[in-house]
Amino acid sequence: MIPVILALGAVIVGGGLLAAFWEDILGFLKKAIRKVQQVVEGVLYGSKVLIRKLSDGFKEISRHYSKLGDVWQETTVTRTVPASQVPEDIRKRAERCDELDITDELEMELQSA
Amino acid sequence: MPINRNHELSTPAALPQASSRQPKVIQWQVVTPKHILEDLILASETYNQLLDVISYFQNRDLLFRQWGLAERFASQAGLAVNLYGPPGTGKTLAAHAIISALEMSMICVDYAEIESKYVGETSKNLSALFKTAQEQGAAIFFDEADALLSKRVTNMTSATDVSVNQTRSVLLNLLNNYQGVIIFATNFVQNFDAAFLRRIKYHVHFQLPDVELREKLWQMYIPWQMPCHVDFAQLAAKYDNISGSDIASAVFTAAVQAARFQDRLIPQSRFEQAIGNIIQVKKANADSEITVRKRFLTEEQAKAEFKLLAKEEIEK
Repeated sequence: MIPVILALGAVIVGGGLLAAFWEDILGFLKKAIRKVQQVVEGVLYGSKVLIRKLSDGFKEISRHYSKLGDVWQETTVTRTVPASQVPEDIRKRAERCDELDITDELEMELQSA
Repeated sequence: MPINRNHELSTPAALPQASSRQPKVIQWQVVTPKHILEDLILASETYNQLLDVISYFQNRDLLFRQWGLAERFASQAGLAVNLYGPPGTGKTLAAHAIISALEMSMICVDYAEIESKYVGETSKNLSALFKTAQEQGAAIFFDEADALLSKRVTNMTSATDVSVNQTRSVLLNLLNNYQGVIIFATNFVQNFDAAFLRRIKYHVHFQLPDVELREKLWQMYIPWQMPCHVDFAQLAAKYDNISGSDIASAVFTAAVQAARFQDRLIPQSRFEQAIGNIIQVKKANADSEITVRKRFLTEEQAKAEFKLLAKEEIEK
């Protein structure tokens, strides 16, 4: 899981197609977190990011975990992207499973701004 | 002021008539298809599927009577086809081309025409449509079909919900019994109710064109009369993830700009700028297509979903 503070404060360093993909994912995650902060009450702890193959393109899924009192809530924010925006390696792995969890990989790419 | 007890407004004849609340009767227009198969630039797999669709209807007698498939496959004389894929990939053109190949006329249906604000009228409009198509021997083409074929309401809480389900049920019944040709086109097949998916014989997937098809599309949409200096292969290679419709729009935009600047020879940069703008707009639009869904979790589910929680929260 990527803590909220890390996600909002991070950048992706480096160039190339792969870095562009992670940058785009990070941008989506930041937007999603801000959206979730508007719609949920309670403390937002962290997020996961997954990719799912569709018949046409891929779905990027971010899941955000918050707690108000004793009640946990999961808020899911999704968007659809074309296949050309997903690097080949990730595309192939996503095609072999229902949902590919890329949270840990994204967290490794994050560096503090 | 004297009171006129014979005031006109008090006489029933002078009262304004109550406005008519009768739902409108739709007059379905039968038209000739506008495109033929030769107009299509599609991936070979998609094109071959269209040929299969045409062959199915053209060879019904051979298949069901001569070869005896009617014994195994009852009620198969009708043809329902679903063309699905991203916008601008040729689905509407293909629908016209299929119907043209079958040498039929067609009725093009927009869901906005069929839908009525009066509960129950949408179903009547649908029944009338199928009746007209049958009488005229016309194929029916539903564009933006997801509006009509989307998932039924499971938790009905209003008359509108009941009406939606009633419409879907009527359409399922019509599909079951109809012996003619029906073509659906949609950008959102994932919204289809499963019952409709089962009743549709062919699902043909339309994809965004690859580099080879993009090159053909650029060549097709730039008329030979237009004086330009363009490397089609380079254009096709440089700009991907675009549809035929995007290319057509870019050509038109570039042409208009070239006319404004009175270009004697339209440079490639005009087309590049036009398609670049279209790509930018699509990207901005994609970013805005974000959906949000919430659900509550138990403590165990929350723990299972992620490991890194503040320890004090887990152990509370």
